[in-house]
Amino acid sequence: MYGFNVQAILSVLFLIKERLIPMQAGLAASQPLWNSMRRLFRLDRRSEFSFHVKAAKSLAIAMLVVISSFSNSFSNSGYCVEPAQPGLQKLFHLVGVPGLRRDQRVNLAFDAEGLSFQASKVQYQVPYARIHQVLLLNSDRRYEGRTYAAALATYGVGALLILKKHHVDTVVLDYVNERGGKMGIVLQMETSQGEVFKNLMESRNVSVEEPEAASDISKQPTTTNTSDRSKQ
Amino acid sequence: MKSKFLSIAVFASAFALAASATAQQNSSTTSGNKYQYVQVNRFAVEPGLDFPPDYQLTIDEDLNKVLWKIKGIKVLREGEPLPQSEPVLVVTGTITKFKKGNQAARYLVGFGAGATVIGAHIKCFDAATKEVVLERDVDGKVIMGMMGGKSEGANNGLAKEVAKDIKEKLR
Repeated sequence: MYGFNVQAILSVLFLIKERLIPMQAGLAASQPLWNSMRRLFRLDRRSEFSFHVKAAKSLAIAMLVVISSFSNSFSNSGYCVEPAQPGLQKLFHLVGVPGLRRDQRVNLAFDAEGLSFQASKVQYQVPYARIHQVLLLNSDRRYEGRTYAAALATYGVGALLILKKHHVDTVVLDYVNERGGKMGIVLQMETSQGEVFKNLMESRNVSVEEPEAASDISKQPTTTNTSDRSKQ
Repeated sequence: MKSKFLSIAVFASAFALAASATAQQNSSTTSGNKYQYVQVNRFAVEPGLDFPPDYQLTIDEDLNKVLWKIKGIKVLREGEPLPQSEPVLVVTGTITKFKKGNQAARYLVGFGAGATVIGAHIKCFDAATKEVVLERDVDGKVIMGMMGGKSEGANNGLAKEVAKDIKEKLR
């Protein structure tokens, strides 16, 4: 998946670069597809096509947005979970890990002693013995950055992408610190990663509860934003 | 040339005075407190109100984070042992109102549509005497923001308001 993504992005960047430094005419003549691409993006200065540079750039950005959207749906299928090591990559940190911002990406490793949260400059561990309760909830999130890029690329029409919800799993980790104080961590991950998380936690004798059974923290049924997984 | 030097000197002295006044104010905030320790208890939810457990925990974490930034206050978690010799302010709260809101409506419609609202009733009391020091209704709202603003921002807004009230009370 990542290979496809990188290849696509590199090819788009290559197209933009080639717009600035036109290739030799002989090379292009030997490649009919490349020739048509050059015409489309007006790489050939003699071309009679009237596409503007801005339009080409917009198309390139739109392609990036579409490709990244596809990559997200691929990752929902579970391809992004690396089977080699017990851990989950690129989770969304919402709150709880010291030194991490909201929505910052974090990797989670299942060590022998506890859960290990790893980001670029932060490493934080929660021992399994101190975990009191783990909830796994269904929720959704919107990708503002992607929507913003789409809106820019399509002169505002792409802003409608904000209507698209991305279903994710929310993990609410309730634990105590070394002095017995109540602490908590909230993470969001792809739905496929949620299942992996649950299996890995249960393999370490830490039970993961569904929202209906989660009475200690919430004492309430969940809302429309965070619905019961068992109903789906 | 002389007037330039004079104006620079005036500006520098004014800046130095302002900086020292700010520092003095900060130190008075820290030294004038009766309560050096604040214990934050996890907020309860009013019966019958649908409130997501992740939001409940987020309010607790955000409130701890914001209170840590106030100089002269040491924040204790619920369940941590209280210092015997020092007075401790215990912060409790109940979530009384929750409107989920809609980020798309906030962004595409605006004018207050799709706003996320979290309301809470907070009570701060002395841990030893149980005397109520502060009792107030607070709320956190997300009405607008980047691409409509994240709904979770309401938690942070509520935490900031609680922290502001506590800071004013302790001043």
